[in-house]
Amino acid sequence: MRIAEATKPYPRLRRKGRYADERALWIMLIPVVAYFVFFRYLPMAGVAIALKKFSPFLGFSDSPWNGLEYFRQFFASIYFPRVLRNTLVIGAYYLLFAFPAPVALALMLNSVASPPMKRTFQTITLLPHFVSFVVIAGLAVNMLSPRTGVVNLVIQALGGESVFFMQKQEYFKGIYTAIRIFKETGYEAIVYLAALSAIDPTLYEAAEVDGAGRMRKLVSITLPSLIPTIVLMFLVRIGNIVSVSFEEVLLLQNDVILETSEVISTYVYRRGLIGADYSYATAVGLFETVVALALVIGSNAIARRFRDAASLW
Amino acid sequence: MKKQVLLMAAALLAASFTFAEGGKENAAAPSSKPGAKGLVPLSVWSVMAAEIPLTPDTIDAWNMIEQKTNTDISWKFVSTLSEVKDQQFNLMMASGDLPDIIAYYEGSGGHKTIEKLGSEGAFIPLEDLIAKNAPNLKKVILDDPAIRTAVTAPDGHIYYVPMLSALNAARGWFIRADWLEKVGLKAPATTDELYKVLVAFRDGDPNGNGLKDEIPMIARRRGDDWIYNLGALAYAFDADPDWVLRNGKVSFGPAESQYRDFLAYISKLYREKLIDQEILTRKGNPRDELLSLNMTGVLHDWFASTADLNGKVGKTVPGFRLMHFAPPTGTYKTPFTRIQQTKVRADGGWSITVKDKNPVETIKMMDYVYSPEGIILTNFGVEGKTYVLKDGKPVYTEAITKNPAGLGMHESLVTAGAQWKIGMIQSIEYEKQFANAAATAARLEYMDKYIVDEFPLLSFTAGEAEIIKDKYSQIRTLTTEMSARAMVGAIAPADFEKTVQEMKKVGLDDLVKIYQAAYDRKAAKK
Amino acid sequence: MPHPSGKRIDAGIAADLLINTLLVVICAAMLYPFVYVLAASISSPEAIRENRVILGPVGPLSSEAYRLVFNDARIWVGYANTIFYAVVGTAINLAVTVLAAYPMSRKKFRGRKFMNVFVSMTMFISATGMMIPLFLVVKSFGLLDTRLSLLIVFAAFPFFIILMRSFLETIPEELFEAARIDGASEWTILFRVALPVSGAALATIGLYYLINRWNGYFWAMVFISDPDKLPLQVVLRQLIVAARMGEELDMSIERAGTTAEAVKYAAIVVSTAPIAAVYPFLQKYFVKGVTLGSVKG
Repeated sequence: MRIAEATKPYPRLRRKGRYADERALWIMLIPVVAYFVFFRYLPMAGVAIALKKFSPFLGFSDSPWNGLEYFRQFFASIYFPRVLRNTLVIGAYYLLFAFPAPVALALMLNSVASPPMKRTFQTITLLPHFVSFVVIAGLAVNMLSPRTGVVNLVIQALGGESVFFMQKQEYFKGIYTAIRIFKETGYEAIVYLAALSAIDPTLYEAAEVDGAGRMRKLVSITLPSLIPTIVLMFLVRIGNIVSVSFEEVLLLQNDVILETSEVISTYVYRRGLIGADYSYATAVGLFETVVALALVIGSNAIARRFRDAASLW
Repeated sequence: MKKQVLLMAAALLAASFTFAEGGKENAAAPSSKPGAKGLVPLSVWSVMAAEIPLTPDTIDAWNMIEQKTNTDISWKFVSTLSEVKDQQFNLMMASGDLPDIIAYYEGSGGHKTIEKLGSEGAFIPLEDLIAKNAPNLKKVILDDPAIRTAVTAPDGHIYYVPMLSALNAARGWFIRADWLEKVGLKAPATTDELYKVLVAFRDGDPNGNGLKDEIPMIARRRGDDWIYNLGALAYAFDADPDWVLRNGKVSFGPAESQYRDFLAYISKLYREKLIDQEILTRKGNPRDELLSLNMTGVLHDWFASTADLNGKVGKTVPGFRLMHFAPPTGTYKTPFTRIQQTKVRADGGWSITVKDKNPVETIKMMDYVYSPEGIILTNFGVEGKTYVLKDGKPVYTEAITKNPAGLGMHESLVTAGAQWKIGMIQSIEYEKQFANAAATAARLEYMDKYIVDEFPLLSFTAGEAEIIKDKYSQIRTLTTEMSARAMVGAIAPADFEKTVQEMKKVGLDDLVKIYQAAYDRKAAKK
Repeated sequence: MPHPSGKRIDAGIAADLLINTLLVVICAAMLYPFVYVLAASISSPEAIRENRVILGPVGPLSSEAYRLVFNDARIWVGYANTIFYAVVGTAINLAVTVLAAYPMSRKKFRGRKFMNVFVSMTMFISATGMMIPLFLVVKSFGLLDTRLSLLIVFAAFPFFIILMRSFLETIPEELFEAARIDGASEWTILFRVALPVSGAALATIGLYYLINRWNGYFWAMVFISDPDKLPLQVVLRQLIVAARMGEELDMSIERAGTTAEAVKYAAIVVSTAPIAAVYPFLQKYFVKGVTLGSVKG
C-alpha cells in the first residue's frame, strides 16, 4: 500500500516549485484588488480634480481645467499659514505630551506588585479608548462649560473666576491634547507593557546582584530595552500627526476658536464637503499628503541613521 | 466545500445588497392615493419651515392643491439647521439623484447657489415656462421690474419661483417693560441710556430671586453669524457690519473707522457682563429659554415671534411684558435700522430641476400657489379648519391661535400646510394676525420711522464671482473672528485697524472696486 | 550585610506608594466623567441646572430623561443601524482581509511581490488627501445615501492585511505541505489549515475593525442623509455636539433648558453602557494583538 501511495502521481503539481492550485490564490485576491482599485487607487487618481474647476454636475471631463490656480489661491490666502501652524502646533503638543504619557503609564503599571491590582488599573485606564469620540467630546465640552461645567465649579469653589475654556483660542491645543491623553493613554500603553514584559528578567537579577537600585535599573535596563519600541511607535505615529485625529478635532471645534483649532484636515472637510468647493479642498488635501510624506521620510531617515533595526523599511 | 463557501458568501452578499438598497427605494417611493392614475407625480425636496413632524399626505391644504392641479406631490423635508441642510443639499446635488422640485436657500446668501447650479444645468430656466403657462406668476414676477431683477440670475435666466413677504419690518429692539418699572427707568433712547438700563438690570435684581443671575441683554445668533442681531447696535454709530452704500459709493462697513466705535461699545458691554457672556456659543434657543426663565431683559429679534412670547411666557412669569423701543442712537443722532425683510425673501422659494419630466404641469402647480385660491391655502389653510371668513377676510381659528397641542402660531400654521418655505406669496392678512397687537404696533412704527434702504442686491459676472468667492470668505472670516475677539476683550477695539490692514492685504480694495462696478451697472439701468 | 539596602528598601516602598497613589488618582480621573454622567442622568433636572450635581445623583431622582430617550425612535434606529454596520461590516472586513493576506503569505506565490507593493503603496496617501476624491468616487458609483457604501468603502485596511499576512507567515510550512500532498486545493487549505489556527489573530483584527465601525461617525455623516440609515454615533452627535452650534432640534419652551441636559446624559449612558460592560472581556485580545504586531515577516 505504501509503495503504491508513494508512487501515486501528483496530478496537481505541474510546475516545479509553484503551487498547484495557484489559480485559487489569484481568485482569492479578486475582492481585495477590486476594492483597492475602486476605493483606493481610483480616488488617488481622482486627486487630479485639484487641477480642474470641478463641478459634480458637469462631471470630470466637462469641468474646465484650472492648473495650479487653487494651490496658488490656498497658499496666498490667510488660511494657509494658520492651518499649517495649527496642525504643526497640535502635532508638536502631541509629541511632547501625549506621546510620552503611555510610556510613563506603562512603567508605572509595570511596577505594581500585585497582578490583580495591575489588571484593574489597566482595565480602568483602557475604558476611555472604547468610548466613542462623540461621547467624549460632548462630555468634555460639557465639563468645561462656563456656568454648568464641573471644572469651573471646582475653580469657583477654590475662589477663582469661571473660565470659558472652549472660547479661548490659546487653550484649544491644551484641551485637545489633554482629551487625547485621557482617551488613548491606556490603550497605547499596551504596546509598551508588552515590550516591558519581554525584557529578560535575568538582566534585573544580575543588576540586583551588582547592587543596582531602582533608578539604576530603570535607566540602564528598562529604558534602553524600551527604546526600539518607542522609536517604532514614533515612526508609526508620525505620519498620522499631520492628520491629527481629525474626527476628534472636528467634534471639539466651534466657530469661536476656529482660528487655532482649524487644522488642515478639518479645513479640507469644511471647504470641500460642507462648502462643496471640491477642487480647492482636494488641492489642500494633496498638500497635507505631501507634508505627511515628508515627515515620514524625514523621520525614517533620521531613525535609520541612529538605529538600524528600528527603521520601518 | 468550496461550493458551500461560495454559496454562503454569495448569500451574505446578496443579503447585504437587498438590505442596503432597500432603504434607498423606500425613501423614493411616492405616496399613492386611490385613483392615482392620470395624476402627475412630483417629488419635492424642501427645507422645513419649522422643526416639527409633518405628514404631507394628511395635510388638507396640500390635498386641495394636488386636487386642483391634478398632481400627486411627495415631499422630502430636511431640517433647517444650517449645517445639516447645506450638507444634505450638497450630497443630493453631487449624487445627481435629484427630485423634480427643490426648495433650498443658503443661509443669508439666499439663492446664489441655485443660480450657479442653474447656469450649470441643474435647474431649468423658468421665464418662458412662466410666460406661456403661468398667468399669476407672470403678473407678479415677470411684469414687476423690481421683482424680476431680484430673481434674475447673472446669466439672465430665472431659476426659482420666490417666496414674497408682505411686510418688510423684520427685527427690532425689545425690552422688558416690567423690569423697567422695577428699576424705575424708562426705555432707553441712546446708547448711554441703554448702558444705564443694562447696569440697572444687572444689579437691581429685577427678577426678584435674590440672586445676581440676570443676563441684561441677549442677541441670538443665526448659525455661526453672531453679529446677526447684535450688529443692530452698529447703526447707533453710523457703522454697518457688512456692505453699505454712502452716497452712491460702496464701502465695506467693518473697514470704516466708526465700526471700531461699535466694537468699543459692545466690548464695554461684554466686559461689564451686560451682554450674554455665552453669546458666541450658546446652544438652544436662548431667547425662548432665557426669557421663560425670567433671566433677561433686552433683546433684538424678530418682531412677530418675540411679541408672541408675551402670551406664552406670560403664563409662567407673572407680569412679563415685552415692549419694543426705537433703535438707540449713539454718535449718530438719528435712530435708524437697515434690517428689513426684502420682498423677495432670501429664505424661501423653489426651483424645477432638470429631472422633472413634467415642467409644464409643475409650473402650473406653482402658478396655482400664486393664485388667489392658492394664496389662501398656503397662508391660511383650509376654510373651516384653520380659518373662517369674517367680512370677507380670513381669520384664524383657535386651532391656530390657541393651538391645543401647545404649538406656537407659526408652528401650528406649518402643521396645517401653510407658510412653508416654498414659492408662495405671504398675505398681509396673515401678518396682521400673526403678529399680536404689540408686534404690529412695533412693525408699523419701525416701518414708518426707522427702516431705511438696505444695501442693494447686486449681480456679478462670472469672473467677478470667482474673485469674490476667493477673497470675500477670507475677509468675512477676518471680520467675524477679530470682531469677536474685540468684543470679548482679547484685543483692543482700536487694534481692529490692524485687521483692516490685513483685509487690504487680502484684497479688500479690489473687492470694493468690483462691488462698485456692479452697483454702477445697476444704477445705470434705472 | 543586613542594612546597606535598608535605605533602599524604604526608598523603594516610598516609590511604590507614590506610584500606586498616582495610579489611583489617574484611574479616578478616568472614571470620574462617566460617574458624573451616570449620576446626572438620573438626577432631577433642576439640580442639574443649578449645578448641584458633582459626584453623586441629586434628588428627587428622575427617570424622565431615560423615558424620553427610550421613546425616541432615532436612538433605536441608530442602534439597529450600528449593529448592522458593525456585524456585517466586520464580517466583510475579515473576509476581504483574510482573502488578501492568505495568498500574500504564500512564499512561492508569484503575485506576492506585486501584492505587497500594491497594498502598501496605498498607505502613503493620507486620509485627508483622499477625502474629497473618495467622496466623489462614491457619488459617481451612485452609492451615496446607501447602506452599501458604508459596508464596502472601507472593506479592508492595508495595515491589517499586512498584519494578517505576517501572522499567516508564522504558521509552520509543514502543515501546508502535508495538506498539499494530500491533494487539497488552496481553498481547502485556507479553511481547514490556516483559519483554524488563526483564531487569535482573527479575533484581534476583527475586534479592531469592530470597534472602528462601532464608534465611527464621520463617513456615515458624509455619505448618508436618510435618517433611517444613520448609525448611532451620528444621531448622538446631533443630540450632544451639534446642538451647541446654536440651533436646537426640538425644544418647546417647557422642555428648553430643563430636561434637555439630562436627556443628553441619558443618551450617552444608553449608547456607552454596552461597550463599557463588554470591553473588559475583550481586553486580552487587544493585548495579544499588540504582540501580533511585533511579529514581523
